[in-house]
Amino acid sequence: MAHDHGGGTSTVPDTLPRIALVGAPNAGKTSIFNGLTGVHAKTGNYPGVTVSRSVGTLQAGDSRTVVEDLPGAYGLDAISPDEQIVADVLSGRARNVRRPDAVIAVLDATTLKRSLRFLAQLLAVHRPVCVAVTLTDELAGRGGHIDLAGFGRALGVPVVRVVGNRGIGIPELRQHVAEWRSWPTPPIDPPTDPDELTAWVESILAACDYRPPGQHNATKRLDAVLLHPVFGSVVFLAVMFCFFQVIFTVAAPLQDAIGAFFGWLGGVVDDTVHIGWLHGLLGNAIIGGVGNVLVFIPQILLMFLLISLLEGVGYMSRAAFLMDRLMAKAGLEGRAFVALLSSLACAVPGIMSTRTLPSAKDRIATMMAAPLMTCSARLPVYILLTGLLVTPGSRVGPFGAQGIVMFGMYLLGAVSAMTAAWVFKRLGSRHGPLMPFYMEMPPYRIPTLRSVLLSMWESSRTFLRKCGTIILTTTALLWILLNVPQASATQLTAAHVDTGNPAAVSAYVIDHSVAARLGRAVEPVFEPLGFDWRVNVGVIASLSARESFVSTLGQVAAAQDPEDPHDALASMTYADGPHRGQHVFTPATIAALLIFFAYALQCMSTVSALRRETGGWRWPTTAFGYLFVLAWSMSFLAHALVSAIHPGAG
Amino acid sequence: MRFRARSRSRSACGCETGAGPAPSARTDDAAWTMRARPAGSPEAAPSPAEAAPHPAEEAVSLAGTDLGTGAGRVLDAGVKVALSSAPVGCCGRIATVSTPGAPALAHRLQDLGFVPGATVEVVRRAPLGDPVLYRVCDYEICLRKAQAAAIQVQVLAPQRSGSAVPAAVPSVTAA
Repeated sequence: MAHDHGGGTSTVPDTLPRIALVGAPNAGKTSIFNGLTGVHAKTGNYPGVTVSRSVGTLQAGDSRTVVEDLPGAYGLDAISPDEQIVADVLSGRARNVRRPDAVIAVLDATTLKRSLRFLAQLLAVHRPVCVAVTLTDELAGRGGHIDLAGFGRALGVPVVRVVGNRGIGIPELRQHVAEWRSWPTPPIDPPTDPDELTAWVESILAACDYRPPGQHNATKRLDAVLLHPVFGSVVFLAVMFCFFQVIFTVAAPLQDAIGAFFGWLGGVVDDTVHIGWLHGLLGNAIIGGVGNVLVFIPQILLMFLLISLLEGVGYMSRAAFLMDRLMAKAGLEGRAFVALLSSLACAVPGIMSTRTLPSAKDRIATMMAAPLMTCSARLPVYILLTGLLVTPGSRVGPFGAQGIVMFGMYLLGAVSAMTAAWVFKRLGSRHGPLMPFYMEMPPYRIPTLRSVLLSMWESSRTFLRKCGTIILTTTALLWILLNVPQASATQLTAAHVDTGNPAAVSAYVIDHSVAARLGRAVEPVFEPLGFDWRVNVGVIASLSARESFVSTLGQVAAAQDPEDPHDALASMTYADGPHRGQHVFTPATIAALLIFFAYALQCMSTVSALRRETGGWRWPTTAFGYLFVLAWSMSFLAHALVSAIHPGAG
Repeated sequence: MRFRARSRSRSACGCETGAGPAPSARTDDAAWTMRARPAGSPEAAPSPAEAAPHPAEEAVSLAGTDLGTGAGRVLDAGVKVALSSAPVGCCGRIATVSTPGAPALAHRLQDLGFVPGATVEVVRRAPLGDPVLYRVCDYEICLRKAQAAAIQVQVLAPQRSGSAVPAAVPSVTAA
């Protein structure tokens, strides 16, 4: 089985018959695709566009067949990039994608009146069509009825009943796929005139004795509460609260355990490897890098689990419905809320989840805003800096002062993100028509454990594969920058460094490293913000993952415990220059650093995710550039403002 | 109060949107008048509709609150309005879908089931007023006011409860 996780191109042999799965979003295409192709699916992007593509193969009868899961669509008059792909692939206009030989149309039995209109367009494409009818169990449960044999006769194409997540109908569908060449095709095309099409749909439905489903009673009752102006908002806030509780408090002990494990592993390396540079490379660069990646896992897994659960149940559409008006203020739509929500854990899954937005402009605007949401990698930085800025335990009224600063940072992130989205939406809206907003509200469903876990696994795997490599490489690269050249024993003695004190030795090495030279080189840029070269080294290091700022600064300041450099930083003074002897971490500098980290795109994983999702360097460079300028200006303002309030300390 | 009103909304409007298994919800003649009370008005305040005990027998009106203006309005059956201005609980038959200068939007609305002749029910307004949830072609979908304004509907008279599709024995005939 050929596996291609790389993206654009497919390595599936071009000679095999190709069958496309087409249907509306939520019709159950993906579970049919998984049922047909099992684990042999490959995901990537369509060439040139940011629409994700799933291709798999299946053994049907004696031959292998390629199955392509096309994006969900409501019609062939495309209105979004996803739908354009569907139209292009089916008509053979898509670049580097062969036109499918046959089509499996996935129709949701509960919405046949609507989906038959789409089927009419598919039949007019003139490829053999087989219809897979899903959700027949739900149709029956809600008092509806369909005679599938009559449905097949009326349409003149093969019809299979499929309950994808329980595997019902998959063997029959597989059997049909093997015989795709002999699928009957209707002798005449369905009408295209809207009124005639309505009559055609009515006649088909009459022929199969179709009775539409009644309203889903549980959905009606739940929506009466969950979409209620008062209770709905309360439940919404409660759901969000639980979401963060789980992501941050449940994940925390797991993350600590992973951190402790890698600390122990680093210690083992320390004890067994005695070649100086090698143990540093192994213990800090490799093991530290892997640890940096793995520490994210509990949080990412939990977040994707919750998102796929809320999605599967149907609450995400409700959340989007409730939030749409608010998001409209920023020129976005309700579904963008999910992306910004995910960005509170990490901007990368946030950027990935913009794929659900039909409008390309909304997608770009959301991607430009997502890095501003306070991601969890900023937390250690904020905790360190607020600890330096505000005396622990000090209070403002009934609230802890540190808590207020943290809350302010989250608020600043959210407000800035919404503003950025608004600006980018305005800039993008000058040309081209506006996308209409519409969103299907599916009935509440109890998703199968398997489908939730599959969706969680798929998202987490993509995240780890993409981010893992970046974080690992940048961590290793930074270790080299910080540790080359290595100091010899004679150098250390000449410089009066106590060779028995590892913290002092590492501080000496860093002082003379390539990174230190870089830090000094960029000093003129950051000098107005109050950063000295050692802070700059931390800022540079934070490009791999923001939390690296803490440990790097710890090493630079020769803190005994680099992971908690609070005391060492509080007493750190300028070693040279006009401020010699003064404290580096003045309130003004700390405020400037906090603001800098709130805005700057100090995260190579995000840059890479932007490149992948937008298919070029234009948007990642735009994002990095605008956020850097914004970060610098805002922190300059913060520095000036705090200096004015605390004149003596600046 | 709003809860009760919602649970009876099917009998309140003229849609034949399906067979709910709870017959009691459909046999309540007065239910639609409850629905028709402008949201937010005091429970005791009589609405114009409550004066008519059998709404289906005369020139019936559906009262609803347009959250945009805050004023209650009365829509007579047969009146043509933009879907965006139809009150919650109202049911209408789509007359035209016209989107001057944006043919793609008209196409899309039709793909979604908003076709002339189809019955649409205004299910619910989002707490902040926009978007609005509609029921069309046996499923629920929300549109913003801007899109719903392109759809003209003819307000339907509320039907007597007996005319709703009877609850059926669930059945699917396998192919």
